[in-house]
Amino acid sequence: MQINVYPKASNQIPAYLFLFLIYSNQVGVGVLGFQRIIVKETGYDAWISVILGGLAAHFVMWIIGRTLGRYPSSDLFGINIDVFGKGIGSLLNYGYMLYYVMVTVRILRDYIEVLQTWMFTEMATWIASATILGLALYTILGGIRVITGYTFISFLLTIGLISFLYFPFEHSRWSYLFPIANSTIPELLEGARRMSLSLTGFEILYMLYPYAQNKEKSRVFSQYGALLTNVIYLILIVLAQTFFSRLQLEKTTWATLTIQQMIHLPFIERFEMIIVSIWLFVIMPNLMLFTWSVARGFKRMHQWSHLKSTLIVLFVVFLGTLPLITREQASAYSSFTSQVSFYCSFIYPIFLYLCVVIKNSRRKRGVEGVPHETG
Amino acid sequence: MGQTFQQWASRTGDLEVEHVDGEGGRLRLYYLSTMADKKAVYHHVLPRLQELDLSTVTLPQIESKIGVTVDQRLYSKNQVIDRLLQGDIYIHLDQAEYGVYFPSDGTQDRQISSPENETNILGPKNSFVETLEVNLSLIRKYIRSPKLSYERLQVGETAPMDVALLYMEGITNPINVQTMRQRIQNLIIPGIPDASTLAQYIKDNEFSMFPQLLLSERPDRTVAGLIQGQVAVLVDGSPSALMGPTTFTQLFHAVEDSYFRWMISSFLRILRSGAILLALIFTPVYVAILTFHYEMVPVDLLISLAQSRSRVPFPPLMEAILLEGVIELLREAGARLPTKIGQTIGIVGGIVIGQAIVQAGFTSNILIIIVALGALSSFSSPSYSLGAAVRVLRFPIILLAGIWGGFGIVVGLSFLLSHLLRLTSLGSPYLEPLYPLRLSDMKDSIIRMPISFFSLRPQIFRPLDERRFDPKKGRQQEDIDE
Repeated sequence: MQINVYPKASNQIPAYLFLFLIYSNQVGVGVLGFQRIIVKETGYDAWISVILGGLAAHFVMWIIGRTLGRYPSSDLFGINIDVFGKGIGSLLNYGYMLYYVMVTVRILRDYIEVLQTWMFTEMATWIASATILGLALYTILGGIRVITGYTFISFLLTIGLISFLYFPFEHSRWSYLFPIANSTIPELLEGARRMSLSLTGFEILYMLYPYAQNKEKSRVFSQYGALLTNVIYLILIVLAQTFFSRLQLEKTTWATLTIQQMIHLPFIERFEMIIVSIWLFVIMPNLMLFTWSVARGFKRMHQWSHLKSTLIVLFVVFLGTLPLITREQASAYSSFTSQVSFYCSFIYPIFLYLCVVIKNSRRKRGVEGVPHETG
Repeated sequence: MGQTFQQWASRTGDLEVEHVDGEGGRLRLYYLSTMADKKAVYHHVLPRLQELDLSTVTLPQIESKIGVTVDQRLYSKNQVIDRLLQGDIYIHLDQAEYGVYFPSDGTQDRQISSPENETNILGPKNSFVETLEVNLSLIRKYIRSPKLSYERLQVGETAPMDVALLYMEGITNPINVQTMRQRIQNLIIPGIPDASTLAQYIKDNEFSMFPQLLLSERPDRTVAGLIQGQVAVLVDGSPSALMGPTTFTQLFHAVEDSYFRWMISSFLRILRSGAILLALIFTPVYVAILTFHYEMVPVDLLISLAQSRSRVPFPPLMEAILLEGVIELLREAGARLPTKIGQTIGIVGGIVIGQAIVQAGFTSNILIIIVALGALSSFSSPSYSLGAAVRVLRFPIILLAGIWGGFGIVVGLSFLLSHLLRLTSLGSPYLEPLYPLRLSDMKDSIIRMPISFFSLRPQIFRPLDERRFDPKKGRQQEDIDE
């Protein structure tokens, strides 16, 4: 397997699009109801945890950027093989691909859960999941440029929804934020760790990096993307904390959606119905980028065709959503994935960076032969 | 004359033979009475030939007498048949090595008239006709420049048809020209009746409802496209030109947009884009809200909605499909019927059926308004193909709305977005300048910026010469005036 890959020019992505790619892949279904989990842990200081979690994401993204910067044009699959050799490297690659499949299943199942809760109680999970995956398949087969285009346009379509938060903000009670700094540091850190599921997705940079037209700039724009995500999470947590009382918030599963009920326009009420529907545009980039990455893993390691690997991955994801029938199962699976994603998205990149550094220094001292190509 | 020619002549009822020097003589004229110009035969060729000494005449004498050059000599029977089919007059002398033809054309052309589908208030008012030469002369009149290149291609195995490939040398990107030329040359088809058929043969994605090449019956629009860097194709016998590459936003452009002031054209373009969106989702939204999400409607509005629907026995989905079907039926009948009856049908259909259908309690008043607005909006598109695509697309989206409400509509729109993202026109992305984002092309997209912003040609056509004019020079002129 080649360590470095050089996609053809027509498939390369301009650096500024990394802002939207990272943002869109981070913001998914979690944004609709992440507040409760954090508030349960840290109470009034939830917003501090959100900031801490955001900073951690920035740091890990920087680490990922540093790791990738040590190679001319490689991705996670190539780096793993290069650092750990073919056997363990492949194993780690499969592990990461499995993790991505798990995340995809979770996003899909959670979105269907929202649909079932807010709109169609009777909707069969498998039909909804087949429909959404069918849409994803059609887009993914267009290649990474089409996926990026979808991501970009879905961003344009949905970013304006932020402005509607003005209506609930009018009802904010800022005294709900007090007392400040009432939690202990471990509590704050635990809260930040709980953010990991909502913040995960930035590590898609590992897979997209070879496609960047300007590698240096793409890392900068990725940081901007993470910044945008953090700002939006901060707005939403502050809004939820000032809008609901603490006990109310602890009982509200989808706080962002519940807040939207406040919006009354002369011709439309229950605005959250529109949000739930339009949210398909938000979760599609998540599903597509993760699926594409896993399919790319197969392509990199076994030279399977794009169509074949995509079909297999989507089918596995489809099968994965089937056993999660009840709300409890979906919720348990969600928190399990959350644990995994903390280790895969936050801890593993740091570990990998250390390994790459060690490997490089050993190479320099000439302990190991065959340096990877540079330049 | 040989065997094959005799056979062909026996099957050709309109082949006329004039024996110039009497029955059994040496000199004969052949022409097709349906294609050749009879005036040329009787007023030009025959009188001059009869002035010669017919017993000793040679072909060089004939050539100089009737005024044709050596280029009009024909050496084989197939050449003769070809020329006859073009409408020329063939002059045959027995025992000569070759024959000559006298060019003529007696076919009837339609007069150049004002455009019927792409009407306008400002700007030139001529449109293409069914003759390639006339259409080309219309374009040449606008572009009297040696840069205008015209390649003649032939398409069709059974019924060959002339196709003209037009582009501006030094402006149009050769890759686009090459793509278009290659696609036309690679065709192995019996024949093409119209440019729109050719468009179907050479477009990028066959399974798409959206037009991937621009079709226009207006010379000024074709010329504007050529100067911007598009490739144009004209087909003999077709009153419309094909232009490519094109983008989705170009479908919202009317030719008049460049004749109006920029604010007015921008307003009109935004109106048209809004109308297309309305045409696409207005009825589905009605179905979704009344089937699943009636809690989304404020109480006051809900009361009038409920009253209007109180006598309707059908679910909203069926009601909507019924009424949309009626509207489509009216449109189709109106398009097929003769103009005089068509208007009557419009009134009968629109007023009588509309009124009766509500009174009979088949649909609600509000749905009539919504469906009529949607139909009206779909006709506001300058591109007829886009309006037609949207009208068809509405049905699956209504169906999705009837099954899954708002989620169903978004599923439909998401598919549409993916589809548009995947489309290309001559290999160029269809959704440009939105994606890939090209800010400099935004000047002429859903809005139209002032003309001074147009100093660069659109990047989507990848023109060789990007610069249209020097914006600084334009401003200098203003200063001198002051």
